[in-house]
Amino acid sequence: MIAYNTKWLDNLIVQNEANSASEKGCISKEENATIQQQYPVGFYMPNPFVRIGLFILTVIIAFFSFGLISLLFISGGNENLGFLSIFFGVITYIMLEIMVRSKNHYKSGVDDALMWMAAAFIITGLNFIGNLTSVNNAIIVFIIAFYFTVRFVNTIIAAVAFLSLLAIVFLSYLKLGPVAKATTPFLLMLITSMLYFYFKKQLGMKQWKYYTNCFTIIIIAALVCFFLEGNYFVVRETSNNMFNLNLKEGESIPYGWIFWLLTFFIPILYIFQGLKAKDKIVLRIGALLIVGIVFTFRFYYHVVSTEIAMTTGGVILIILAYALTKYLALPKHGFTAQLSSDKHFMDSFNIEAIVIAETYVAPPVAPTQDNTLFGGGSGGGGGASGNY
Amino acid sequence: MNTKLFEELKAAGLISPASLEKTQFDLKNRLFSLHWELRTMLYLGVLLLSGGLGILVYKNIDTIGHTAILIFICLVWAGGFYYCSKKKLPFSFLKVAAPNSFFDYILLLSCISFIIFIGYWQYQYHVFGERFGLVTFIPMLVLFVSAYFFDHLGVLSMAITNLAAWAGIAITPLQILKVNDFNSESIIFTGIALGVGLIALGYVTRLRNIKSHFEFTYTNFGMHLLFIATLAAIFHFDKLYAVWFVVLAGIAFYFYKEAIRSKSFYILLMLTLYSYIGLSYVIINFIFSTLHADMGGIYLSLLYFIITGLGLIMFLISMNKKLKAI
Repeated sequence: MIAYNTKWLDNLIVQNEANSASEKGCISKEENATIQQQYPVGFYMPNPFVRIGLFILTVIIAFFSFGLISLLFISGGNENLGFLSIFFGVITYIMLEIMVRSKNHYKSGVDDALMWMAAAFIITGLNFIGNLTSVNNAIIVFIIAFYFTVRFVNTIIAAVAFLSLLAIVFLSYLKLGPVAKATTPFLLMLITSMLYFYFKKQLGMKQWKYYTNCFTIIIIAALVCFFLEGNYFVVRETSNNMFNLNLKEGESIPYGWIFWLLTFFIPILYIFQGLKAKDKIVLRIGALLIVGIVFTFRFYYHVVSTEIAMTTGGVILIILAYALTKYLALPKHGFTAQLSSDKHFMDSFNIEAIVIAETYVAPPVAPTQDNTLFGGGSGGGGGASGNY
Repeated sequence: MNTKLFEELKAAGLISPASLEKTQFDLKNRLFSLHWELRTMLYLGVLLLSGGLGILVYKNIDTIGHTAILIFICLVWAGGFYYCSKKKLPFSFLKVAAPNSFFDYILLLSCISFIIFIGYWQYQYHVFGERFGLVTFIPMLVLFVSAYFFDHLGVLSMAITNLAAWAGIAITPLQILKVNDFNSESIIFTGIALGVGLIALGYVTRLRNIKSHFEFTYTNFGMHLLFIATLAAIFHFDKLYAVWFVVLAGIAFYFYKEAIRSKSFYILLMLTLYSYIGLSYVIINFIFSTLHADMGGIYLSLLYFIITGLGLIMFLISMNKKLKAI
């Protein structure tokens, strides 16, 4: 089922566990080294940055190869282009299988790119040949994404499979008539929550051990979708656009209060549940969706001006963060404000500094007439009169 | 971590019983860390507060009175700086940790409000007269001093942004291509000079071991600015593009050495992508402008991209091996 060597996938899990245990000092460096030796992984797995580079280059090669082939063989006509595109997609897929099976690429950028390109070429080709409806497109996307998820264990394509499944339900249910239209959000929420609980339960089961990350991303997508499906803004604007309700500004959809309730209730439920079950994913998504509440509310009601809202919101956040940090100065109920020993992406790459520089609005570029430090540095250019 | 795995490892004799106990203990007593959540909250709070105050001041200028506003903002930054200098750990040229988790954000709030203060002061009272450069120069100075004095990478990034603004360039990731007009020669030359300057600063920082953890921030800003400005020069000076391409190759070579020295895959990726853009421009330009090729030129350029793409993949794969081996 899985294209990758499963023995190595198993070993990779062991290696990662041992590495994190070693970083925490639970097992000694020597023990970790023997474990790494005893559980060898033969995959070609380059550094993440090299992976990005290989991804971009593979996409470039695939695109220009397709361009070359279509220039050589095409004599016009959408249908011909469609067949060629599908043919090319199949070739890309074969390349992918070769890279994975004989060259042992695993998340190397090359296999990622080939997978996406194969899917894109096949879907585009099908659309060139026949006039596909949106439901049909959703079904095709789902089939391809599902297949790739099962075979290549890719997280993002797993999320695509999940979303396209929801799209199939949404688009085909709408056709059933006015009652269906009114109940769409609830049906979607029902299905999303069912999928959520299913994957939540399956997560960590031994038979799905290779799919842990795929399931996690589906769970995240489900949490966000569940909020969006009940969100007042999303429901009102979608039904207004799709069903031609012609709502005026200030007019509400029928039973709008239900969606207002859901909009406010769901993120708070997430945060509460995340803290109770010590579930980081649910907690973080809940916190993130608070922003969703604020935007939804402010889109329709302007109780206070933006600057007052910003200032008071800022003060509340600072006080809350301060109080919580003080409260958790010594760990309580299993919570701490200290950095956990798990290494974090944010620490290693000072993302924070870049965000600060980006959000900080630099003073407007001033005309540099005074010829101080940097003025004349570069021969002719620097001394030129300021052109701002 | 799962206990079962470690039990198996112990049974296989790969870890000692003591190590197994440690992993089990760690798993049982794992604390749930809210560190990043609280930090994000605090940062968002500071951002909202300073932004909100900024707009508030702007909208109510007529009713509150300038002096009152100025005094208020002055109190915010003065209070913040006072708090920070009271709390800070002794200065050192090495990395100094923040005394508590609020320190960084109070410093940030002080710095931002100081900049608002200077800007507002100039706007209302023209304290610096027509010397606009000073309006960016003074905050820049304060930011650089604060960054070193209090050891804050975020403030250092702000200082570098300000330095660039003072030289006439927007440098932050989202703005560098949007705001700057890279068709103007003076922007290109300023960009190159500033890029070289920042890289030199990073170099000195490392060499003299003066806050050597600041090096990455300098080098990173400098590298992107220098590459983008040089690429702009290649695009702009259509007669001299070959000369500028040689310059680009030189810069790429410097960073190639740099990537190997610091074992940085990030620098490796950046130099590869920037050089590839430059090379592709030069080749395509050569095919169509110099050779005046028609259909054959299109085939040629398609082949160029396929072949160089494959070549660069080989290059990255071998470099990946090389850097890992160091």
